[in-house]
Amino acid sequence: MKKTKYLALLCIMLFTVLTVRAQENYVPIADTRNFMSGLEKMSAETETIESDFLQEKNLSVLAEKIISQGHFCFRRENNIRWEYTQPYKYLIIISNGQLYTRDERNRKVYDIESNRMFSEMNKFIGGCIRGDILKDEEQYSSEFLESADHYLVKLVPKNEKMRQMLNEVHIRFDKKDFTVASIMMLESGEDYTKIDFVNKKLNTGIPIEKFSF
Amino acid sequence: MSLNSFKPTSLPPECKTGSFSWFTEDTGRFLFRSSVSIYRNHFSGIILIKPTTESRRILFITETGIKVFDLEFFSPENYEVHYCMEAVNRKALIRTLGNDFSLMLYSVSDDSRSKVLTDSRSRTIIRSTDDAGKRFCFINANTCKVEELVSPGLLCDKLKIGFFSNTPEAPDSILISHKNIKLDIQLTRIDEN
Repeated sequence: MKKTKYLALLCIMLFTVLTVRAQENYVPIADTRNFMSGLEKMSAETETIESDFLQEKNLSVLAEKIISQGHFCFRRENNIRWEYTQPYKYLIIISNGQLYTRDERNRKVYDIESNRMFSEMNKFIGGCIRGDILKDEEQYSSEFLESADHYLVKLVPKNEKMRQMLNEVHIRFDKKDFTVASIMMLESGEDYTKIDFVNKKLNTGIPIEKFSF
Repeated sequence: MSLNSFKPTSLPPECKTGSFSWFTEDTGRFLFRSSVSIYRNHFSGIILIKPTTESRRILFITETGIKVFDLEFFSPENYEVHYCMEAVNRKALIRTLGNDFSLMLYSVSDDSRSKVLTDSRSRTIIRSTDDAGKRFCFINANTCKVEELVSPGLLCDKLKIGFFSNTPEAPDSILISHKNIKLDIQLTRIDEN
């Protein structure tokens, strides 16, 4: 029940109009209980979320960033549609314990736990989206910060193998409505992936067919 | 591939550059949409190839931005694994990928150990032999770029790498296929314009 609660909670947060402010000054959150209760309230009030997203991949060997964009949908309890439109069309649907991918040539369905790489990737990505990752004290140490407009949660993997893949995960929340503004995955060196969520729409009644494949 | 039909010839005059690779230090970097099938597993994402004067770098990231591997080649035989995701980090797989990408990135050169041949279809072929065995590099006489690389086996070709393009600047797609192991890699260049 608790897991589901946080799943809905974090998915709700994915819906914020992002206001990027360079060099925001963050300080530690004095009392994280207010922050967590704000997230829970938002979760309880939200059934569906949809948003556009802009993904930046920064590789130190590449002067410019690799930009992807697309559309994201969530419907309680655990239906996620992640649709890339640029630089090419690619669709990921997570529903009923299965992961479906489709591009112009291939359609694939996986039992999430049957493929080790997908399992690990899904565990991480899903954890960010659903919010499981925020509560996973066994796997991550966390730091809670705030600025005038945002909350920022910095997660550091405790597992050495995980740390080889990701040094830190930064999840930024809008203070106005506790929705997620961005997720940043920092790798070793200067490599990172940043996903900004824009044009949020809450409780628009996304049909369940949107998550079928 | 019938070796009996091959006859000695010489390179077309305009092709005497010593290298027929699509990836040289003056070609800039390339982004390919990529599909990798390893036995029952299928991965898709973006492959970045960046040749420089010192090396040729190849990185594979998933659509969601997660890095799968990062290899840097300093020569066809010498490469470094900067990163490989734990889930696919198997010695045999890395060695196979290293061999495949080495061949894809460097092709073969018309050095003293190689021979220039032609076949019944008048294609120009560089035959080379190294520690990994014989290699056949089919050259497009108009662009002087490699069209196909073949590593022959006893009964059938072990490895084929096909390059497809409508322009001499960059391959539009590349197909790496193995006969003895279930590993296929398909690259399609991303149009960034």
